[in-house]
Amino acid sequence: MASVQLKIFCLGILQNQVGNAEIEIDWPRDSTIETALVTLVETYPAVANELPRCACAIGDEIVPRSYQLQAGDELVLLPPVGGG
Amino acid sequence: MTTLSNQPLDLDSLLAETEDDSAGALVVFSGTIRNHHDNKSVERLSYTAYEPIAKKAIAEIEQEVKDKFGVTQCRIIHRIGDLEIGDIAIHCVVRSAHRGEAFEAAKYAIDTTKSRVPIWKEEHYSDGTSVFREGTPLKAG
Repeated sequence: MASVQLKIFCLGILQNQVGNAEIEIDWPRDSTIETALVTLVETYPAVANELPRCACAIGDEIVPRSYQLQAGDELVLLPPVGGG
Repeated sequence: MTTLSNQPLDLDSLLAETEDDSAGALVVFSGTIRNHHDNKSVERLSYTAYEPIAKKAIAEIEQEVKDKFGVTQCRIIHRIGDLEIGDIAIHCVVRSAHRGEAFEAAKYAIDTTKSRVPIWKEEHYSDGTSVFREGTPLKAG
C-alpha cells in the first residue's frame, strides 16, 4: 500500500515527549488515525503511555480514531486538558 | 469577543462588555497563579492552547451556562503564555437577576472550562524542574 506523509501536531506534554511540536510520519494511504498512531508509537515510544488518553483533532473538530485520514489532513493530538 | 489572550487580562473591559441593567447579581471568578503545589515551590506557569478548538469550546460553554442556569451574561477569558506568581490566568464573569444562579453558574463555568477546553499548564519549580499538570481527557463529539 502506498504511503504518504502525515503531519502531526503534538501539544502539551506530548511536545516534550516527542521533542517537537510538529512531526511527520509515513502512513499507509487510506488508513485510519488508529493505524497512524501505531506508526507514531513505533517511531516515538515515549508517547506510548500518554497516547491512550489523548483526543484527536482535524482542524477545529475532535474526531474518533476510526476517522479515515485524507491526503492533506493534519492530525492534532490533544493530551488531557487542565487550564484555569 | 476575546476568549484567549497572550496579554494581561482586563477585567474592566469584560465588565463593560457584560453590563446588564436587568441583572442584580454579578459574580466574578479570577484564577491567579499561586506559588506552591504539592509542597513544591512554584516559580511560574506556562499555558498553551490549541486555539481553534479552545476558542470554540469557550464560546459553547458561555452559551451553555446561560441556557442551563438562566443567567443573562456569561463571559470567560483565559490567558496563555508564561505567567508569573500573582498573574491572573482566567476570568469568569456571570450576571443574572439574582445571586443564587449566578454563583452556581460561575462555578460551573470555571469547572467546565478546566475540563473541556484544550489548554495545558506546565508548572516550573524553584528547583529547575517542570511538570505538566494532570488533566481531563477530552471526549470526541
